[in-house]
Amino acid sequence: MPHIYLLAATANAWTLILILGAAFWVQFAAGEPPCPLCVLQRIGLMFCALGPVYLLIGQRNGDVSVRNVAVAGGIGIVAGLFGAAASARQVLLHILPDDPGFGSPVLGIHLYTWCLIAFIVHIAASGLMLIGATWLPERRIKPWPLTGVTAGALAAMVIANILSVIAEAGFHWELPSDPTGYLLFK
Amino acid sequence: MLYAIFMAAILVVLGAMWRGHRAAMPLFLATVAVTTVYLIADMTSPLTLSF
Repeated sequence: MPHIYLLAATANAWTLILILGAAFWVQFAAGEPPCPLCVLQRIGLMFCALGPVYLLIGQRNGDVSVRNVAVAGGIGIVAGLFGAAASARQVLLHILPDDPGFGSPVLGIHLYTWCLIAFIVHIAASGLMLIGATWLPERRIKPWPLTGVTAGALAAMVIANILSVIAEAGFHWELPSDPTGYLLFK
Repeated sequence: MLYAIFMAAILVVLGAMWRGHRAAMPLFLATVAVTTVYLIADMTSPLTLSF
């Protein structure tokens, strides 16, 4: 059972990291700089990833404790609620008929709608993780080998987003509401 | 720049988690709270940061 938790937490974290990577792909390959709400949703994804990464980091001491599962699940739910609020806000801004939406759709659905789906699934997964603690035995296991690379990948993704948003906003406090380029280089 | 500060705070939380520092959770909650306040401020003043 502890290994299932670690596998699920690793898959969860990497899914969120890959979503952040896909957002970069849209940003640079499709040439669509993220709007402020898009950036807030990216921040929500980073918040969410802290949950499973917390569980992985906590296991370095040798066990997947119920306490760590509870904290990781709590992080996931709180972060998921924040992200869902941000993405639902953007969905509602474009809900009127004939509104083309913001940015290019992926598989027929806009990125903010995908984000809303991701946040809802993340909240559900965090809840299931908490319920599953019923069957979690307290026993020591070997350190999970993917902890370092997962936490490192998340840190790298956060740093990349910091650089991206600084390039986009330049020396301005806020981002433009409909960005078309990178103010730092203008 | 404001968003970069939010993200930098996430990076600090991650670092605190890695080191097992007891400030990790309070810092996480504070970062979420401040970012949420910012989001709510946007919701109550339409067409400022949203498209």
